[in-house]
Amino acid sequence: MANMAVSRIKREFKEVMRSEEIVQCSIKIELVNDSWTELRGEIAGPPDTPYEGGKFVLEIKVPETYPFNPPKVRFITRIWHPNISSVTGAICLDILKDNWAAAMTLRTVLLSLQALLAAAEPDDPQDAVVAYQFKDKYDLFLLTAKHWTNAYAGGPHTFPDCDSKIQRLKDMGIDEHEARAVLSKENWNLEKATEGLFS
Amino acid sequence: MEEPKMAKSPELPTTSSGASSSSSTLPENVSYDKIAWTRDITEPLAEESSTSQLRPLGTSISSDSTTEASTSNTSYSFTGDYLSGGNIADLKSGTSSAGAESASKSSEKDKENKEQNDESLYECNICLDTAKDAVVSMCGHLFCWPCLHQWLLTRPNRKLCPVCKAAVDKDKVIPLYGRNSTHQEDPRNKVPPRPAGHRTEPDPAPGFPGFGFGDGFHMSFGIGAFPFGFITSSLNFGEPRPAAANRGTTQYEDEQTLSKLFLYLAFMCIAWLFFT
Repeated sequence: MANMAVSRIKREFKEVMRSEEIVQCSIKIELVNDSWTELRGEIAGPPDTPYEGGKFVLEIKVPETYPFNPPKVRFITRIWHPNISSVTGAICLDILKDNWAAAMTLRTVLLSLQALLAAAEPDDPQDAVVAYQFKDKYDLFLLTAKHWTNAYAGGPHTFPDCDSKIQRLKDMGIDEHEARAVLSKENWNLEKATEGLFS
Repeated sequence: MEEPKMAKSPELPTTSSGASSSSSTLPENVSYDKIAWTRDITEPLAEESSTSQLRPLGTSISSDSTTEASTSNTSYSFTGDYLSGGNIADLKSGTSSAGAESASKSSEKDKENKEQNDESLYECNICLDTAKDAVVSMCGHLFCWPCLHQWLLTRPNRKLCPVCKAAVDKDKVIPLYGRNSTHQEDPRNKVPPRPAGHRTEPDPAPGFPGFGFGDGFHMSFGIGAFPFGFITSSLNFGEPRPAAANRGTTQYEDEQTLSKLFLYLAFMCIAWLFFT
């Protein structure tokens, strides 16, 4: 079976390389090791979303039982999204779990993840804090997602206000990533964030 | 295979020079059927070439073949047209047909490209390789039987088509038998066994209608003692029976055990008749 997994991944790799999306630079894939069990994917943030302009790197691990079981996919690039953990990058997507079908390929998985960025499901969240912000304070969610896209994925929108608040926490000896996470969680309320960090 | 024959034929007066020169310039990738086709036409040409009519025609051909080196093998078709029609107007139509043929050549190349793309039509949807022991689901998706079997084993409680998520069942897939599949080992002997095809017998031709009122209602009269009536009614002489189930299916096995059971029952009845 392992043989089948490798031969299929090789075919899928070629399929992605020949696909239209690679011409448009919307998805990308590369090998991590020679055994074809681990790959690195990259998807572009879809237009008209807070992720526009960003490049998100994914870790793809192919199990021995592939394609009968789904590949294990995780975001390496940090992202602010209701269905993706802002801490670990774990993804909540049905086709990567129960709704996986053996006819799906790396290409369809990458395109599905791109679609997930464009259409979040806050009612089935992976990151409850993000999902709450998405439902309760959508404007703040957009700002935070754009800020994270800029900070981690090379997005175009900069927010000096956010940066100065993070700098304030950094001056107090807090790690930049932690400062950003706490501020995002506390809806960019600096006092609450400091309280949470030092209480 | 055509070249030496054309060079040898001495009867061809002027066309032979044109033909031999053109045959030497024949492109190597001329398809087999085209060669066969030209031979069909050149043979009557060889017979009638002794007549004087052909000489001016031959010159016109050689000029054609020099101008159109690419369609050199089609130049014989002009003579064919000419011989049947005996008209110069036909010869011109022949040149136009040659143009059409060169166009068809390019379309052949397109076809080859298409065929390469079409190969993926017969790829298994799971292993993405050409399907081996192919089966097709009711929703029309092609798989290798080992692949689909493995997929159904992986999720025993959610048997869905990997492509369209329609319900898929072992008993509801159709095996595809190619032309030479009989020469290979019977795939059903392999593990896992491929499900058998469902073969429906055509409706039996209407025979003796019996005492019927329209379709479906039949009446029979009979006078008999207990055991004979019992036997005739239980064994159903003369009634059309449903087609036997296919080998390897569970239905077939069930029917086998049932028929054995009834056989024992019949023996017991007969034995009882004898001993009482």
